[in-house]
Amino acid sequence: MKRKTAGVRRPTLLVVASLVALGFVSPILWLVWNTAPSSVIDLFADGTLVGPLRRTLTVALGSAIVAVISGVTLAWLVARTDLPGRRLLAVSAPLPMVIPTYVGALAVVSGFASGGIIEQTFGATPLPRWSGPIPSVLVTGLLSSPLVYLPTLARLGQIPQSLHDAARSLGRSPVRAAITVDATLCASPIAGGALLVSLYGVSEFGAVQVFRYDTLSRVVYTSFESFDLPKARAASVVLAVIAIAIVATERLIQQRVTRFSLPKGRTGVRIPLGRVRWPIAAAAFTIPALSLLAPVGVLVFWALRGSQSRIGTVTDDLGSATTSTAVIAVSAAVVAILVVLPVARLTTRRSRWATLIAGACTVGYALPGVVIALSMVTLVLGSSVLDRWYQTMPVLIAAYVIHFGATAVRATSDAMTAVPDRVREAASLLDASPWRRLIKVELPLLAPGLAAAAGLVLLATVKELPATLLLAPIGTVTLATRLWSTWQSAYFDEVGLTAIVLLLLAGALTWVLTLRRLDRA
Amino acid sequence: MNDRAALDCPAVSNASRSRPRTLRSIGLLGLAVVVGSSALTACGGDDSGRLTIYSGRTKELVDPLLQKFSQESGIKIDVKYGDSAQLATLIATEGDKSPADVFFSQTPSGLKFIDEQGLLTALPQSTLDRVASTDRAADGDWVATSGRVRIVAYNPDSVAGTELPSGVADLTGPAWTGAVGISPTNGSFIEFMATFAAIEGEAAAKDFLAGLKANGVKTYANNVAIIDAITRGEIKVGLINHYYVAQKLAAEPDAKIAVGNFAGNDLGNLVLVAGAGVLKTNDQGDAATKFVDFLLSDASQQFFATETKEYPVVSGVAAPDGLAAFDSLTGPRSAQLEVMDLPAVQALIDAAGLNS
Repeated sequence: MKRKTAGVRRPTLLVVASLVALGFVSPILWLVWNTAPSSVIDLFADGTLVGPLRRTLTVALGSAIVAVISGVTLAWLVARTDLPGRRLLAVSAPLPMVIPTYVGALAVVSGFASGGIIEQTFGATPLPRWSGPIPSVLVTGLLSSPLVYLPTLARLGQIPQSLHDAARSLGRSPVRAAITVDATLCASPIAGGALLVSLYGVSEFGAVQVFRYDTLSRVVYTSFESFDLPKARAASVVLAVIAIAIVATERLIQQRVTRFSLPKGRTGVRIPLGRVRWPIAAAAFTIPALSLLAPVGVLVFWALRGSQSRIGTVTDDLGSATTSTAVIAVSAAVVAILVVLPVARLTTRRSRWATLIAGACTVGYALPGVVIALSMVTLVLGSSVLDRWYQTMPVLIAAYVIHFGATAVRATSDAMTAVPDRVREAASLLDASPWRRLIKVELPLLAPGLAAAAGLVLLATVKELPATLLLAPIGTVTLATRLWSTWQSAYFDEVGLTAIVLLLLAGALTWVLTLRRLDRA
Repeated sequence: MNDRAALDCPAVSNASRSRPRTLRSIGLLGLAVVVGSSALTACGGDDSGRLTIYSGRTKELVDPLLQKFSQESGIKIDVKYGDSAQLATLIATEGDKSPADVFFSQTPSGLKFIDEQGLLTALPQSTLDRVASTDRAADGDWVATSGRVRIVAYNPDSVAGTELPSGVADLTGPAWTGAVGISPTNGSFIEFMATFAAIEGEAAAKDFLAGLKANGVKTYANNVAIIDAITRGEIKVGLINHYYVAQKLAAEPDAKIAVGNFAGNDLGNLVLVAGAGVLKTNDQGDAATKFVDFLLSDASQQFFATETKEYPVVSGVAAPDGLAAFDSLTGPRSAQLEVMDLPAVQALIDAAGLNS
């Protein structure tokens, strides 16, 4: 009885989820297949890759720590307290993710470094030259902290008041009760978010390039720039191996985390902060201020400074770039959710297969976009069925889903786990069809988790550059490509304008698709 | 926890009540996706009768020129913009199924790479003859369309123009300790070092890089960052391409930045070119060559001089204000090089510790 009620019939689900996973790993399989093992060994033979490997691990671990601290703090303050301006905080907290790291990093350098804007304007003491691990980790961690923030916020919205009341009845103060209950129940989404930040840190290239911190992703990039494709592929394989190791580590952590299915009930415990709420609000707002306003401020400064005259002309495509960015990002988010649903459903069963399949869907997040894109080119053009779809929207969306599906898998499976088995059992007693049960009973309960998942895919997609440049239908301009293009041409006023439109669009879309739903939950 | 079942059962009915809204919004989103995607796909249109250009030069720089070509010739064009090296890699990956007809590259190395893969076809002699023989591929498969020159940019407040060294190799000397900026991952710098290695030999290139490192050279993400560092006074001089200075001065006329050159045919005066070639996958016949001819027309050459501040490569067209004529430049010419071994040079740069 128990087996049967666990969900959609086992073989069907397993087959569907396996097919999805196969789609996710196909570019990686292609990559491994086309990389001679000797070329990977050669990379390490002369010792030149040991340093980059260590630096990649530093960025992966360091940025995860930064992101967990800032993401969890903000999510908890937004969901659990009467912090002044918490609506504004809720909307601004996920936005740093849409700032490309190269923009964030160069803004930091030209704002804060010796002779920079701060020193020029305020005569403040010059800060040391910005380079190396600390700025790399800070920028990567802060800009990717929404990967922790959104899933944590979603989970906090699912925790019913009854549990807090139970903890209080054991004699704990409201704050301690909330922290105990929330910490226990959020452990899984926090670990999942930290996993995603680590993988992002592995793939990240912009900040480490600006801060001159030579990681493996930089090796991949410079190898492409010098047309050393064998080396680029070999280094990418190493990135994939690191990603697998990180995913496995996170699985081990998750096994130690007790999983709870949450009882349904009234949610939304709020703790009055009393007199300290203003200082806490001030402190909380420095995080988005640092990661959002600082880069935008520097862009605006450049814009004002450089607007008098310039070389060449600016094409009038901001409007069409905004429309195509919105359509592409929402499409990718919706498709990603639909595609990963079977995988997430499977993870509610704790089987080895489920773990393997979910892990397989996660690894692609650690690969640089250009690697995924070039694999897709070969796979699509190499098939006489698919080649007519080359450089069309469906293939581009597929590339985004493969690259960013990891973010959806985690958030969706966390949401699935939180649906009590008893709800499924009760539903199965009333309604025989498993698919109907999924649609009628589970999906509504999953809404906050799915909304968070959609938000993460959306935020990752709106700033995606390399796959967009290579795979988009010819002539497509997105805000991310416009940002890059104006940046390459040194039109800083246009860079600033594009970045501001990108932030507004991302803010509006995450509000409609995600935050509004979390708020209701 | 036995009462959990009791808590759960109301959840079922709650869920059923909120179902229509959730389902409707999912349905609406799905509809929006289908409509939106097909609208965007339709914009792409079909490929027949359109010249497909892969451009490693940014839209901001060349779009007006490309639109003018389309208007004047009546040939419809589709343009894919991107990074030159990545587009070259894309063309090589696409192979004989590439939709591209023409590759318009920011860098000589991108064209050399796809030429080595045998993906370019020979241009007509009349097209090639628009430029000097030093500014086109030896096999006639691609041609320079505009020129850029490696220079030493300096801060006139901290260095007098006359104090600049006569050769780029002198920057490893004690007078320049901690005062020089380079961007070791920048394509132009890598091409410069590849030329260094091709002309002076790998050992000399290695010594030069080691000398820079030992002399406390500062490394930056790109040329714009070098310009920024010079004007901030963080470094005195930087090795970059000439037009970044022109751009900076156009935006900020009193910025602390100036152009310096080395003496004679010093490697530091290397002439790099942007260029174009017709691909073997060209299915638009003469339209592709017409495009290359258009780029080499006097009017387009004038556009590069006035709009992008680059050197025209066709003789008789005036260089940008304040710059010497292109054929009077004394530095080595990149288009001529048989070998541009970028992977080897990248390894030298990494080994010198300039990327870590």
